Amino acid sequence: MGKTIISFFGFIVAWGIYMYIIDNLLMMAQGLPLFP
Amino acid sequence: MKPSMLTGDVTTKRTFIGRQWSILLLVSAVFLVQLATPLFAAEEPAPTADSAVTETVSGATADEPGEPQPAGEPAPKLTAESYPSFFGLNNRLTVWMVAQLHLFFAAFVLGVPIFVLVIEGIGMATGDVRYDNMAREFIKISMVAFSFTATLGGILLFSLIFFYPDFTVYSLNIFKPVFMVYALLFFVESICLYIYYYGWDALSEGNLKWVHLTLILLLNAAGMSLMVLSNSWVTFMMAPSGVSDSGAYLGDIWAVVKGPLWNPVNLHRFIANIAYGGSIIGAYAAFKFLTAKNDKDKAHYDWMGYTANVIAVAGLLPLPFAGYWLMKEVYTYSQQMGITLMGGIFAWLFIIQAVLIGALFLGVNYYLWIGLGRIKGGEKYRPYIKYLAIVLTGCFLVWLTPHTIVMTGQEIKALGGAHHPILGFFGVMSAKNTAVNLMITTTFLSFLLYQRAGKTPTVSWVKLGNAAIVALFVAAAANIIILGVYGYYIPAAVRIGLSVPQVSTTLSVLVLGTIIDKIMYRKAESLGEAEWGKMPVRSQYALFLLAVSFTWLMGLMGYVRSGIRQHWHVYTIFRDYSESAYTPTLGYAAIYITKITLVFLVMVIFIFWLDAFSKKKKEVKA
Repeated sequence: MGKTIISFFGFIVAWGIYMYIIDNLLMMAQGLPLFP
Repeated sequence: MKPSMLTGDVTTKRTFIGRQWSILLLVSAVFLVQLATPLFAAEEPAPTADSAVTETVSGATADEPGEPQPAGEPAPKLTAESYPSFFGLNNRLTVWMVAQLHLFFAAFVLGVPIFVLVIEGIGMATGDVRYDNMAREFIKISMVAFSFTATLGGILLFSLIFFYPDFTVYSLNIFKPVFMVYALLFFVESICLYIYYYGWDALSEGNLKWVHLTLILLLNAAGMSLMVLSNSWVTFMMAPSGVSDSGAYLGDIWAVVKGPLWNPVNLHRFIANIAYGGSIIGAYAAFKFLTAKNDKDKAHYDWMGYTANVIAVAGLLPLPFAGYWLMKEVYTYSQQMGITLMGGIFAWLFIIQAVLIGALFLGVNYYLWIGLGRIKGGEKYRPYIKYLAIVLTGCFLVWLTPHTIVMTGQEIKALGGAHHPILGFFGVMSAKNTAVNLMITTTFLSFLLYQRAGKTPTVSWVKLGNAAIVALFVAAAANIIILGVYGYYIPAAVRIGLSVPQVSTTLSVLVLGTIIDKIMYRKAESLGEAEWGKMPVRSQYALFLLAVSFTWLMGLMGYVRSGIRQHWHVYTIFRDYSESAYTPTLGYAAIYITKITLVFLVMVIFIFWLDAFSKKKKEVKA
């Protein structure tokens, strides 16, 4: 159970980083300012 | 001669014929693809109407020295007497009714062959004869609709000639070459349709089945080409190109066809046709389910209704994005047009649209939730439904909150200003984009739960996989909301750009969620086949709701698309001088569209009845 919870938060961080990168790439592609 | 030899001979002959057909069809396919290729050529910078008002629409002024001379006559200047009246019929109302009915049927008959192609392909790949039968039934229903489409198209042309003779002559002169190709394609489509439908049994074995599949592919190619060509007529009326500012044709038909709104409308209609075809077939399945006399038929039509619903959802999910692209291009073409659409006189129709789209999402989800009841193991997901319902309802409310509304002085006073102090925040695009992306994600989650019900995964990493999927949804929801809130703190120009990462987040969930889920459930143990037919009657009314909402929505938004030209036949270059050149009140327009919707639904019920009637005759004979 503990392992699952840890991996869940691990995934949250991983997906979060992935989305942050994609978000910024898409803003960059539109010539708009990046996120803080 | 031995029977086996005979069989052998026949097989050889059939294969030979099959090859000949294949070659013929391949050549035809190459021809059609070549024909369609220029339609999707690289985009050129789009002209804008704001500049067109003072300069030219196509970027070339015929009056300037050195520029191309017009190859056609300028748009005529008309008077109220230029519009003949027949039998006391109102020009606009008649053409409106006929055009809309033609479009309803056209959308249906263009949408159905797309998924018939896919379903027949699935049937071929899996060897499951149920798919083949279903594809056949789908196309059978469309047969009458095909002839209705053609008949209504003819009536539309005659109505235009009768009621708007000058405009029709002007359009025919410009679009002459397009009409020729259109007629040819119509012929190709009809031939493909008839061989496809009547040759189902004759072309059912071996290579001949491939020929059959090629026919539906060709039918689709011809149908799509017909659609994009006729789209160019309406997009020309909204955002003309390839003509001088007086409306004189400059001689390049491609410049006329490829107007700035052409491809957005092409994409939007292509996706919408799939969703619409699915919803009408869903209503047919519901009708058959409710009238089924035995469990076998009930099971069959329940399965058909479910499949049709999946198709409708598959079309519905990407549709808002195509709509945004179209709106963006409208704004780029003419800010004035965009503002009239979204913030002016037509804005309230967008609120009705929001309500109807919300109803569609709720209907789709509701149907999926009830569907859990027909699957063993579906009950384990039932406790989660209430949370999904809360998210959907919340988003629905945000989605339909208007930004500004027309109010009396007293109402403004009661509200404390033009915007509500709290609800005013939900009226802007940041909130709406967030709401619609969350609604799509939630609908996908409902679908995912439905897919999982009735199966137990056997892979060793079930917990890890579930954690990844739940985390994906949580992270995506957080990202969508954060981007939405962030939109309130930045300038409008940057805010518009935020919708792109929001959409990409939703698409990521759709793609990644499907991939992880598919791998996890690849060798899953089944808890038993879905009990098709074990659905309460109310679920079928959800399918009717989808068909009616889609139809109504198309009528309303089609009116907006067309009405945005206001007092112009062709925006900024060919003025409408008829008595009905004004924009009707929204209530009047909405009631008239509702009447058209009712007429269409009666015609659809007639088609359903005809199907039941033909079977009755067969039963009597048997």
